[in-house]
Amino acid sequence: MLRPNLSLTSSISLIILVSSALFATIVPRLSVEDLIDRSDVVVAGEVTRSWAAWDASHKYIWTHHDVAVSSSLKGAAGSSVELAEPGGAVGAEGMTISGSVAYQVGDKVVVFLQKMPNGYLRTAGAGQGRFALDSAGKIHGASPTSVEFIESSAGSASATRLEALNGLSVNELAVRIAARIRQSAQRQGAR
Amino acid sequence: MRYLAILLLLAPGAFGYVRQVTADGAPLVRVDNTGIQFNLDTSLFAGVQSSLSGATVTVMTSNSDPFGAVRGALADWNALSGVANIKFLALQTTSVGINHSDYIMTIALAKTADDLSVIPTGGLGVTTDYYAAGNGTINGWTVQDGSIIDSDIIVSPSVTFSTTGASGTFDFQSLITHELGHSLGSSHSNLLGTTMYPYSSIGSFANRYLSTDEVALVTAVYPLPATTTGTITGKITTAAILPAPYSMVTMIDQSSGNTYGALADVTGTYSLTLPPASYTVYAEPFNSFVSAGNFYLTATQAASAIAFEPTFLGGALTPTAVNVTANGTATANISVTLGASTLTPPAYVFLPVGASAAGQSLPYIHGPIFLASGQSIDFVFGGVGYDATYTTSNVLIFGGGIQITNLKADTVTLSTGQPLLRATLKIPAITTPGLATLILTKGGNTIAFSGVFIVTPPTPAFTAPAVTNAASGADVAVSPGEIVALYGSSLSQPGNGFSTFFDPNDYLTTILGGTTVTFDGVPAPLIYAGSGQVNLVVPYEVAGETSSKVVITNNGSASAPIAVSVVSDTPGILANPPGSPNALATLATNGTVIAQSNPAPRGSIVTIWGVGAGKPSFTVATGQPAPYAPPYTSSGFTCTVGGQPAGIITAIAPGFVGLVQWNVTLPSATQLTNTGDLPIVITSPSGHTTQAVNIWVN
Repeated sequence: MLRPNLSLTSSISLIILVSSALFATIVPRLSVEDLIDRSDVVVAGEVTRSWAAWDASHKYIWTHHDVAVSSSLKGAAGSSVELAEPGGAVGAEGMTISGSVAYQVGDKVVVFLQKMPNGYLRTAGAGQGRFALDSAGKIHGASPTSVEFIESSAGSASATRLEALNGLSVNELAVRIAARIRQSAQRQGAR
Repeated sequence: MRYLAILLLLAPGAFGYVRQVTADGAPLVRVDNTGIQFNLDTSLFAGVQSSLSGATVTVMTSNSDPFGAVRGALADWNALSGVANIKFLALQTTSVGINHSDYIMTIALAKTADDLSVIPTGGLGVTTDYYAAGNGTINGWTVQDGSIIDSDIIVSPSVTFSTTGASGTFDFQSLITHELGHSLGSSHSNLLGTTMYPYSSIGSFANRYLSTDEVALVTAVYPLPATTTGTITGKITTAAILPAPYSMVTMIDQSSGNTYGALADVTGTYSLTLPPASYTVYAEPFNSFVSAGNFYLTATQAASAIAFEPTFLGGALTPTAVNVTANGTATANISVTLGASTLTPPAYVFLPVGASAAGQSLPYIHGPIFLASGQSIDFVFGGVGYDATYTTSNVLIFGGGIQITNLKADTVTLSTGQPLLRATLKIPAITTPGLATLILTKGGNTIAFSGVFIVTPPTPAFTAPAVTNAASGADVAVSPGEIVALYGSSLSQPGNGFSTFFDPNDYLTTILGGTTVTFDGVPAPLIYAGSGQVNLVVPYEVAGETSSKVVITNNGSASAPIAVSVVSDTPGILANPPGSPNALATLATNGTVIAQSNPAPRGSIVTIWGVGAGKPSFTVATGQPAPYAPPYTSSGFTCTVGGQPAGIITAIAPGFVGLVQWNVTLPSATQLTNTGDLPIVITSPSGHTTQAVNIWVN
């Protein structure tokens, strides 16, 4: 017979780390708040075109994806946004890179994009910033991380895990993002 | 040699892997697999700082040895050359940085905005594999679609690495070992305890340890002739016979516990080439550890994956044995139960049997867990869903021969009020590391922790005298460059022990039979590794210290550290034969060994062999043999023979590591009237003297 012991003296001495704090120090995940804060552009839409090209210094190949925007959730986005991920093939030479995020024409997505030092918009938090949109317009595919060797990231006990976004509509996500942006602006204003 | 023997024993001819592919789906494969030349860029040095990502970051701690760490990682992979046709050449240095078109495999710190942009935010490093996107000839190689023609490893400037396990740092060798796997065409693994598992954490060395899954990759992609294998193929479907796309499939050798991971395609179909054996096979969906993104699936592909319970062929309690015969094909179709498992990773801690969990901090299971074998230990776990209805049948471990007994509610609870469960794991002693998988079930729900345990040999323990001068047997202190002997149990694999060798860069190896020894985190060159004794050279890096923490690690099992005193020199004379009162000495004129039958003439020059002369004034790296010219000499030593002063020159023996030769001019017949077996004493500049030994003089 299993017997849970509820004695006060023993139970209070045992500490369990909450999930977000744990992963903040060991295998970090971005929270919803992290993801919104890190992103320069957030849009919902469909990948309409993909092509690979060398970067300006002819050092790395990047695959660019045009996303026809159906909803702009953060940042100044027009009718389309161009995002880029390292890797792809140009002519007789190709490049793969561990940690890049894959897209294909026809992907219906919500993407959180971060401006990189080279000026490209790349998926924020690597795969964490990419979600699929189902035929009903619901968000799916939130998963912990999809890059390798993640270092510690910010997080707190009050942070919201990305899985909480699964099943939301784009409009519901828009409300969350707007609230977070307002919250951040108020914090900054209070300083 | 790192883990060479281990892996050969663990998984000869094993297969099972996930490969990196080109933009059009062709698998990557090297064309230079028998002579892969990597170069360490001069941008990566001990103490290097970077401000590229904003704030100034010390990227490599000042006492790190990045060159040695890369050599160690290369040696890890080269250790598989017995089962696969791969060979990394001796590491070179370069200053060219990252350049895709130079066909120079380079490991460099990110230096530019372009470099920084290809590293995912938060990533520790990336490998860029450049490949031929069609058939033809490049750089003299005949290539086809997917042939790797250049690989560069770019190290993040945003985090701090070390090679010493310094607090708050990431292990550089783990990063490089992982990235070299990408350079060989490997993708990631869903098995938590593998090198190619895509996550690491501060202070973790787990990715250093090549597992059966990495063996599988190189064995399959770079096969040697006459490898006997069979195949498991199958399809993962729902009860309605609909495919379960991109399911992860794990196969566990029911006898050895060797574990392999694979990824099904969009139709749920998989096929793996494996060594003949009987396998337990199960399928699981992407989970909280591994996601579709780890395998570069697109959003559409990822969205096609379905949620289901981890499902064993035949059931978790009575899994069907899938028998793979030589050149045969076995089928293992699995019908999975739809719906996401309600179980989540539990909080856990391992404790001595019966020890209280009160006051412990329990992390959730989040990655690989080292588990020393040869012990019984309590596994205490709990959290949402893990309640008093649990029985031993709800906790399953595959691999390692681990037995689970005495599952019960613990006497303490989590601070959240949830109960804790406790089970005793009996882990039989093993000699080589392997993986084990934890399965937890409850009420039709299952959660799999595939390959989560890295089961290692029993924990090494020192026995007094723990560290002694290899020549004199003195156990007072160590000195830089001294050859010492360590004594204890489970220091290395049982058997006849392992003898040293020089690595491709002509440094004395720092790993023998899976054993490493560190002084304050700096790996020591090893001369011999046996279960009860390890001989090594104390790293020069201890110079100037008064004490050093010594840790010995046997295939992932680390000892508790012991502190040893450090002094500038600890001279000791080798005895001939060992244990006798006579010095190992040779005549300079003809190299013959001095003995009663071959005494040294008074006035002649003899060479006394020993250890512990301290760090030479010349620059010589730890593990690097002393050159022949100019000789590395030290001054300030004095010598007496038969109580009379003798001339002495001290040198590190050319071509050797740690071996000292004292060239002694014996007193003349006028100075030394006695003959016979006379005492010889050598005194160091700091006043330390050699032990009592004699030399035959006439």
